Formats: sequence, C-alpha cells, structure tokens
Amino acid sequence: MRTAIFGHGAPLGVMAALGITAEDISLAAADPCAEADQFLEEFIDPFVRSVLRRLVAGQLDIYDQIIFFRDSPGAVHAFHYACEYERRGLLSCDAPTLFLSNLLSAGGQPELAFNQSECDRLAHWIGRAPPLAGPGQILGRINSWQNQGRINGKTAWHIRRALLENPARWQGLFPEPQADTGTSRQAGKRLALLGEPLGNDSLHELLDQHGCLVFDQQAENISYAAGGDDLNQALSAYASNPYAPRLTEPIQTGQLADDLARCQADFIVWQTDARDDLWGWLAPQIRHISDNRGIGFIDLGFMPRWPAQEDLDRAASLLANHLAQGRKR
Amino acid sequence: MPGPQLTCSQAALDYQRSWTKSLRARLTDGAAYGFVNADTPHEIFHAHDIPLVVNQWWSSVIAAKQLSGYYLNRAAEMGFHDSLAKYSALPLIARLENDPSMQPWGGLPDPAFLCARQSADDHGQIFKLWAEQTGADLWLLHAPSPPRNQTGWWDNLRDRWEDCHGFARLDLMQAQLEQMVSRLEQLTGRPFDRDRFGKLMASINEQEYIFQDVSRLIANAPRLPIRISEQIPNVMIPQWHRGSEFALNHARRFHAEISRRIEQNQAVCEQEQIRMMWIGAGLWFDTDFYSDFETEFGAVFAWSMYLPFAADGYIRHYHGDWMRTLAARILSMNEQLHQPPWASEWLVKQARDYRIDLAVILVPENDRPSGYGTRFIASDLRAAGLPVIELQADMVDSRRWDGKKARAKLAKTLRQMINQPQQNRLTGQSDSSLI
Repeated sequence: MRTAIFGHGAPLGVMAALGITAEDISLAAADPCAEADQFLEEFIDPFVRSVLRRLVAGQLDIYDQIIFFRDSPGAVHAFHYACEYERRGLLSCDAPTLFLSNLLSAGGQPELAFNQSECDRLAHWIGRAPPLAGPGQILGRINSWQNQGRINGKTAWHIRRALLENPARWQGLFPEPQADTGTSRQAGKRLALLGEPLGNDSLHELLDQHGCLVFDQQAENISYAAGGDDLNQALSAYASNPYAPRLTEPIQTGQLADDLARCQADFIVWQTDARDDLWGWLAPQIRHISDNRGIGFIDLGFMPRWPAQEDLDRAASLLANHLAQGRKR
Repeated sequence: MPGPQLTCSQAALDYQRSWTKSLRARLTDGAAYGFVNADTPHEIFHAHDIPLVVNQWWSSVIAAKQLSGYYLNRAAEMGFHDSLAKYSALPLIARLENDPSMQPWGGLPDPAFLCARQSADDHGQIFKLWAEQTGADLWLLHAPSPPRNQTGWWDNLRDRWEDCHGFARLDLMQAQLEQMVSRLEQLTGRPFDRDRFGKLMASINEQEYIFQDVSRLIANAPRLPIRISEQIPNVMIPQWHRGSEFALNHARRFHAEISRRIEQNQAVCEQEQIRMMWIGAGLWFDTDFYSDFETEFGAVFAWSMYLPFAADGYIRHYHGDWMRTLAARILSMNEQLHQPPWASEWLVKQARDYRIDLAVILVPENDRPSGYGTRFIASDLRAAGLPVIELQADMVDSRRWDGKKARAKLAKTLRQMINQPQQNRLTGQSDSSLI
C-alpha cells in the first residue's frame, strides 16, 4: 500500500505510532489541467490547486490513498474539491481513495477524546500495523543545526524534503544526515524566513547567498507537528505545536519572538503568496516584534510559491538594499 | 406594485433600533458582553442573558455607514495585505485603528469574551489578534469537517442528526458548548438556567417552522409578493433574537401579512416574467440592485438564502438533550451553505421550489468561506437547466464594486432570456442524475 499525505505540518509522529508511513505530496508543482481548472476559483491556494491538478491528471494514481489533514491551511478544501471531482467522474478508476483526518492541534480532554477517535478511524481505514519510528527527532536536529548555522538553508530544506517525501528515511534505511563541521559555519547576517510555506528551495538558496538562514518558521511547524515516539507522546506533541495555524490560544507570535531571540536573528524576511488568506494576519505583529527586538524587517511582499527568476531578482534587489543599510542588534 | 411595505417590516426595524439602543446603553454602562461570529451558538448567550455583538452584523453596520473603504485603506497601511478577508475583519480593523470617534456608536468598548468557530482558516487568526489587542477571553470552537458528503441534508438533519453527524464530532461540539457554559457562569457569577435554555430551543424550532411555511407561501405564490430586500429584515432580525417572544410573534405576524398579500394577489412586479435567485450574502452597500430589473425586464429576485435556510439550517428535533441538539445545529452550517454537493443540491432544489429562471452568484474573492465551491455550484445549477451569472464582489468592500458594469452584465442576459422565452424555467420535477 502506498499512501500520500497532503498538508503542511502533518502529524507524522501520530502516523508512525499507528504504523503508517506516507509520502508528503504537498509541495509538488503541477501544470495546468483544464478539467481541474474549470472548477478552481482564482483565489484557491496554490498548493491546493497543484494537488488537485495532479489528481485529476492521473499523476497521483501511483498512490492507493491520500490523507488530507484538516488542520493544515486549505487542506479541507483540497479534500472536498477532490471528492467533487470524484463525484463528477473526473478521476480515473485507478485514482487513490480519499481520506480526511480531522486531528486537532489542541490538547484538552474533549480534544484528546476526539483525537483518539480520529486515530481509530484512520487506523481502521488504513489497517492496523506495528508502530514505526517517526521523523520528529531527526527533523528537530536539522532545525537545530540550521539555527546554529551549521547547515545552510538550501541544505536544510533538501534534507527535510527527503525525509518527508521518502518515509523509508524515517526508518533508518538511509544514512542519517550530518551537519557540517563547526569550521564551516555559515557567515553573514543571520536571517529568519517567516510567512507562508514555499514550494521549492529557490528562495532559501537566494537567502544563503545574502547571509545565513538560521530560522525557517515552516520548518519549525513541521518539526513540532511530527514529534513524539509513541501515540500518546505524538498526540501531545501535535496538540502543543506553538506554530500550528489553528491553535486555539494566541501564542504563536510570542513563540516566534522567543525563537528569533534564541537564533540571534539579525533580519526577518517576510513573504506570502498573493492568494494568502491566513499568514498575512501575522504581519503587523511580526513587524512589532522586529521593532521591539531591534531585528531588521525585509518585506518581500507577494512571492509565488514556486518563484520565477524575475521574482527572485526582485527579492535579491530588496535583500541587497536592506542588508546594505544594515541594522545594529 | 405591491403597495407599501408590510407593517411588520417597519415593526422589525423598530424593534432592532430599540434593541440596538438598549444594547448600546448596556455597553455604555459597562455590561460585560461577547463579540461573536455569526455561526456560533448564540442560543447559549441568549439563554444566559448576556449581550452580544455579532461580528458580521457590526461589519455590515460599518459598511452601511460608508466606512469600509476608509478602514480597508487603513488596514493596508497597518501592514495587512489586500487579499485578506474583509467581511469578517472590518470590525477588527476598526478596533486596531482605535479611533472610536470614527466608528458607528462612537465605537464599542472591549468585549469580555470573543467567540468564533474555526470554520475558516482565518477566523481563528482574526480572533486571536483581537484577543491579544484587548485581553478579552478567547473561545474558539473547533470545526472538524464531515469526512463524507451527504445528500438530502435538509430532510435528514432535522431528525436523524445523530446518525448523520456521527458521535465523535457531536461529542466534541457538545463538550465545547458545556465548557462555554462553565466559562459564562464564571464570568457572570450566575448559574446557567437549563430550563430556560430548553424553552428557548423549543421556541426556535417553532419559529423556524413558521418561516418554513412563509417560504413555501412565497415559493408557491403566482407572483412574488415581497422583495428579498424586505424579506431579509423580516427574517434576520428575528433570527438574531431567535426563540425570544419577539421573534416568535414576529414570525407569526410576517406569516399573516404575507398570506394576506398573496390572497389579495399583490405582487412586486405586475408583469413578472423572470424569477431570479441571489446566491450569497447580501450586497449590503447596493441593495437597490435587487429591484433594478423589475421595470425594464419584469425580472424579480425571488429568492435569497436567509428565509429558506431559517428552516432547513436550524430545525433540529429534540432527542433528550438540548445541548446536543444545539451542537447538531451548528456542526455543518458552513457545509450546508457553501460546500458542494451539500450547497449545490440544496440550491437546485430551492430553484425548483421557487420556479427560478436565473441564478446570480456573488463570488467574494477575499471572504473565502463564501467563495469556495462557487464554480461547482454554478455547474450544478447549469446542469439543472438554469442560466447562471457570477458576480465578483465583496459584501462590504464597495471600492471594487462596479454597479454599472454588474447591472449591464445581468441586463444583457435578461434581454437574451426575454428573446427566448420559457426555455429555462425549472418545473419542480426532480432530476436525480444531477446530484
């Protein structure tokens, strides 16, 4: 059985505890697909658009099933649109079956009971299997190396994606990734990339060229959400992820302020997609953190999820201007 | 012409004005109040007699005062980009602007608590930001989505809601409602009166059955007896106060006056030729749009969601626990109104019931809960034989509304329909192949 998952910050620790390995298909780009596009409004999230195009085009028929995570931005719409394509007969007979997981990033007693029932539903649907090792610890280690400047942004991005897109790597079937030695620490201004998830490494590579990318908000989200070594721990880790967008307490910006201080960030680099309806609500608060903590703020504005060269050129120009002006910590 | 407005229409507006005045007085006197989203369990707050200001209502008040452009421009200056929600966020922007003299009523004091259901990705963010600004208690309800879509919900959910929703989602919502009750008791120092709550819930069902009858009267009348712009306050003002003595009496009065108007063969448009449905929230800053096609084309807007949804979305029969019944009411509101096939199947049925000839869909690009699924909905309506016009516009952002262009677009289609009479009129016969 080959399983795919769609959603940023998926509960991979929970899945591993249930014996489920799955390939993350959230970031893959897709070509236009007329049959899918006729039903996609202009404002649809680019990652949602992409997975639906690939589904209708038959490119996901290699999977037996896809799990969509409701708590991930846009994922519930991806699931329901996928169901609509299925209802209209637009999916091939080999298309994967579709599953919506409603696991909540919250940890009260009612939520715990609900999450337990969601685990049972998922395990029943996919079949029970012995627990596996999850990727939480390795993901945490990669973030730590990046925070210390021991690997650059592009390298961290690639190691992370390799883990998420090939779950055999969780299981120790491949050599563990290694950080660079202390002598090759990245140099330059310490940058923190905040805002919406990106679909590829091109902006990370650009930031590496302008400084040292020590913090990636979305990588933190992924790592927290994937934590835990058994089911209880994993549910607890998922519930206490301070970067979960649907957290019911307003603690995300406080966590960000602490993490930026811990990583000694010199500059925040902020970006969202033009169709964003979520992350942009944080922007003024992030600016406030920047002002209060003496951290520079570089607003790249709208950036496509798979940036084209002209987007990167514009970003490079903004970065160069801001970094040249500098900001004392 | 249908003559003057119904007397109950003015009565509804008078009641709302008086209620608004008393609410304002209570808030000025320092009463603790809740600022809540429209799809939250108002029933609990009403039963506990705690004042409420509804986010979307306050947003429409700001828009009606022609202040939306000002606040949306200020939002951009504050650093919020222009793709973010408008309808659900206008009051937050006004609060962040923090100039009460600009706002309706001279502004609102900070609420004691904020309540939203996380039915959209951004609702939680908006309310968290508000809570951080004001220090108000934040009560966010989870919104797990149905894992499978259902057909015929408007019948099935009235009585078989336990089977349709499933235990887990109901248990979670019920538990969250009970948590809200506890927090309200702590906030006010008063015990929650469950008998009063039960009576309120029973009255709401009674009220919604009356609205169901009104909806059927209007749907079956030979010609439209009341414009949707007059329907809406007669439905929504009682809905904001649902289950109260006023609301129940008003529903009865509305029913009586509509019946009389139909008996007297009064119609909005003497030469009614084309019946249209308006799909989406109200076009609050240009409500004349709804009546602008009557004289030239004999085209009337006969349907908006507010009246029929009062019955289909709210009637939930009691099975021994009113709190669980309330959970069943709230659990799938968003799916029913916006998510195909729930929404599209219901809209096709409504179009048949109301003998609709043309559907007009409002597609708000920045208010995603109302925008999602509109192309699927349009497709299902077209498959049912109904022409569909899609209008890109926001409910409160008048800056980008080109009323002249929208009118011309609709007029062009109406002209074509008049030249090809009766081709598209739905008959009320069911067509199971569509759904």
